[in-house]
Amino acid sequence: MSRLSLDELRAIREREEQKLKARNIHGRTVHVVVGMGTSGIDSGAKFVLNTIADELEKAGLDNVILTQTGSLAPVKEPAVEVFSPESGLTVYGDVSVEDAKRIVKEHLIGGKILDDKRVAREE
Amino acid sequence: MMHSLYDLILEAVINSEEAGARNVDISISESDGFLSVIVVDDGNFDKEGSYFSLGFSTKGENRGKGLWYIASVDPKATIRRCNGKTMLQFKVPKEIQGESLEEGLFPVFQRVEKTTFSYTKDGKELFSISDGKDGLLTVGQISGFKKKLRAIKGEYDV
Repeated sequence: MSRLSLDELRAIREREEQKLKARNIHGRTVHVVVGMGTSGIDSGAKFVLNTIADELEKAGLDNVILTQTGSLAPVKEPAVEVFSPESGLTVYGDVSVEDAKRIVKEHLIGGKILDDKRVAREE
Repeated sequence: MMHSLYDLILEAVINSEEAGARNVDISISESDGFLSVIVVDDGNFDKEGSYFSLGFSTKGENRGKGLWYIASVDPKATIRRCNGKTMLQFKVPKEIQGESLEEGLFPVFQRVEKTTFSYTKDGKELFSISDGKDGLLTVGQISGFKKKLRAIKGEYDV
């Protein structure tokens, strides 16, 4: 499992908070972000993004916002971040299409973090 | 790795986004088995250089692959500044189109304030689509957009 430093996590949080403010999308409680820089695209992030969009559509999850961002390195890509009031920030790395389906089903619907794909916080 | 048409367009839009563009217009013209792509943005164009060289970037180290990918498919690709806008042009064989319109085009949107995509075949515009003022963030918006793309794909086989 790869690790993120506290500074890196803080930077991610600040960046996303700025984005949320900029887009004025208050009222939606969960924010899913897919790393879609060149390295992410090379590793299949486009398929992960489409899969999450399709699964969200099937499940009709109206409280979720799905966006893209640039590279999420040093997390192994494809990488996905989930922000929710219940679980805070969760970063997933090396996400396959199947993992993307699990993120929607187990985390967003079921409320259970996928420990096997989560990028741990560096103490 | 083989890049599809939509991968190349996505790289072009990422380049626009990183240049601070708010509006991006993408147009494709299909003729004689080739697709001519023009991407116009209102971002910055602040450094002269070999934009299509591997590793050339105004955005720091370990960058500069996107436009190189485009030039590796079309060595005659050009980028130039005109009337305050940046215009990137390249041409590829239709065979590299790759994934469906819905899968390929969805990631191209969402990246800047407004993106417009139009498709012309043999001189006649088939369709034009944009993400509009409401954006493309919520599940309802994404679902509506994907439905439009599926309908276009069904009608025009592009």
